[in-house]
Amino acid sequence: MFELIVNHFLGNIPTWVFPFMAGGGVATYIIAGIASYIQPVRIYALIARPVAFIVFVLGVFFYGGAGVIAVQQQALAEAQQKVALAEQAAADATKQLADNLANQEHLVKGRGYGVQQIIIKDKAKIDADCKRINDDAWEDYNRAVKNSGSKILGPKK
Amino acid sequence: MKRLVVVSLFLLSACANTGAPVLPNWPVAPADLQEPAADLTPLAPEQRNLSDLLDNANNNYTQYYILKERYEGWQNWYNTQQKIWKGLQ
Repeated sequence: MFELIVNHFLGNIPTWVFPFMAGGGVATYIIAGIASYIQPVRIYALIARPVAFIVFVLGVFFYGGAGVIAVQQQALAEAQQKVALAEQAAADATKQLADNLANQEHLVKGRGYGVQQIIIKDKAKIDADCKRINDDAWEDYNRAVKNSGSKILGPKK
Repeated sequence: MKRLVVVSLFLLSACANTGAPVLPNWPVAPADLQEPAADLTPLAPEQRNLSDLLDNANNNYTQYYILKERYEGWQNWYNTQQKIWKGLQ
C-alpha cells in the first residue's frame, strides 16, 4: 500500500521538484546555520534547520524514488510491447491451427464419404454373402460401440 | 552518524521493487477444439445387413479420425502456446 501511494505520488509530480527540494533544503540549512548567530532571528533559524534537513532528506528520497519509477515505467513499456507481440503470435498460431484443423476434418469426412460410396456401390455383393448378421454379432458390435462391457461382466456403470 | 543511518534507510526504501507486473492474456483455443466429443453411433435395430454394419463402422471410424485430429490439435496448440509463453520469461 505504501509503495502504491508513493508510486502514485511520484508519478504525478514533475521530477524537477525533488532536486529543487533537496537543493532548497541544503541552502536553507546553511542559511539557517549562519542565521543562528544573529540574535533576533536565532529562534527561527533553530526551527528552520531541522525542517530544512527533513526537506532535504525527502527531496533526495523522492528523487531516488522518481528514478526507480522511471526505470519501472521503461521496463513496463518494454514488457507491454513484448506481451503484445506474444499475444499477436499466439493469436496467429491459433488461427493457423484452426484453419489447419478445419482442413483436416474436411479431408477426413471426405475420405469417410468415399468409403461410404464404395460400400453403397458394393452393397448388393456384400449382402449377397450375408443377408442378415447374427443377433449376437449385432449385440456385441453395439456393446463395442457403446463401450458397455461384456455380457458376463455386465454393462458399464 | 545516527542521521546517516536514518537517511540510508529512507533512501533504500525507494528501491523496493523494480519488476514490471505484466502478464499476457491466455489465448482462446480454436472453437473446433472446444466442441464436445460426439458418441459413436450404434447399429439401429432395423440395421441387420452386413453393409449396414460396414457403413456404421465407417461412420464411427470417421468420427474417431476427426477426434484424433482434434486431440493432436490440442497438443499442437498447447505446445505452441507454451513456447510463446516461455519466450516471455
